[in-house]
Amino acid sequence: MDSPELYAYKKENLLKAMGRAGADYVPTIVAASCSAVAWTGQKVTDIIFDKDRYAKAMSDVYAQMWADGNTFCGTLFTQNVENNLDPVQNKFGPDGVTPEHVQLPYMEADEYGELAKDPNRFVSEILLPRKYPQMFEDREYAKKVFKVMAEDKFYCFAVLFPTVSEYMAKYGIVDFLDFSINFSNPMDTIFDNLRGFKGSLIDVRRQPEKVKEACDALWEAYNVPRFRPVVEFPYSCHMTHIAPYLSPKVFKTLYWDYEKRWIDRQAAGGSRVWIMMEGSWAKVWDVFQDVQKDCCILHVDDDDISLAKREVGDYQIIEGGMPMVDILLGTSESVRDKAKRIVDDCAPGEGFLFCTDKAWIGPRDVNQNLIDCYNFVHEYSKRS
Amino acid sequence: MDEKKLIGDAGRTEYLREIVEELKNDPDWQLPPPARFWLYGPWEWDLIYQ
Repeated sequence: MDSPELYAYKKENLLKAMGRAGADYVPTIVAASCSAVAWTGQKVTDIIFDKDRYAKAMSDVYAQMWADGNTFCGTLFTQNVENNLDPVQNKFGPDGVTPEHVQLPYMEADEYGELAKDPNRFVSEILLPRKYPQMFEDREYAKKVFKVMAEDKFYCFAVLFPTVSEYMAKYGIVDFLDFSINFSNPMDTIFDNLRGFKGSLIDVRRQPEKVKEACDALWEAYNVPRFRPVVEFPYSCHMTHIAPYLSPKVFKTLYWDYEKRWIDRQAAGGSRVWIMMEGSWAKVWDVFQDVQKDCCILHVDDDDISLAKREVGDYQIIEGGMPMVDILLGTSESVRDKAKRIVDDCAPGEGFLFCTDKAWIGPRDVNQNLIDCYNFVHEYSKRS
Repeated sequence: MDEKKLIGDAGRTEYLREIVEELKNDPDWQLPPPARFWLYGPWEWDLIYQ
């Protein structure tokens, strides 16, 4: 098959698998950050400003490895940001491949009232001067910050992502998510941007009413303005963060309400959502019975995929299965045995996409075990 | 930090918005205007997250 024909075939099979409509085999999903670059013996930071060299390095492995769909393949920043702004939460590690995130929360516990009053203004008026005081002392520096950020966002979103997609499409790999319509639950917005891990978890216990008031304000000021008309394909997505650390009761009070609103909106428009259920969600899987059947693609992270298949897999699509620790530490035989068990457990009834549990972010994550595993699942699942 | 020194009485948000408006129309910047989409916001959240 030539590239367009292969792409069309893989897309049709992917949609059939999600629609439980008789797919030819279980689709395998790419969970890449930039690890594929390291597989070519290069560092991301050495080649990122040559878009074709970078895109080729991001996709070369697929000449040897069968993959059908892509969720996230790339980076949201280059080293230009950290070279010009200090401090930053996100940067490449010393290996030049691994993206590192260090939480730097700037909001205090007693500021929920200010946040709820006007979330956008609270960030620009109160938090940015704390994080980047130089922007408010030196106008030229502030201009430089805006220029660096604007140039970097343009380069990552309008140059690198489309170029990588183009190279991946040569192997028929389908981008089925649109990160420009990425969703952030208000509780995750507080966790990721404002109060951090420790602060958020203390706040939900000590001042849940104030957190709820701020979440409602964030929904109106942060989420609603970002909504676009729903398109059927590709899908909106959500990289969740705080959910596994909440009790089921708090999850249902402070998290699920907003998540459901977003899911219902996308489902009503005939689309689906992809949710990276980071950590363990087993205690709250039941909530997905309250939304339209098969409108969610649930990426299973720390939970057992076979259990997820039994508990949630009949009414929502599940994705995942192969622990990265097995890919990194297992033998060819042990990986194959595990992959076989996963396909045997999860392929019946369809609505299953094979993937690793964690993303491929480190320099050793894309390796021969991973290549062999994906190729095995593709071949084996044709017969299951 | 002398918060009033550069930002004036209009407020910090307005100070930043003024810079952004200036950059949207900066003829000396090599980034073409259509590529300056990030300036149309919401940049405050990207800056605090970055």
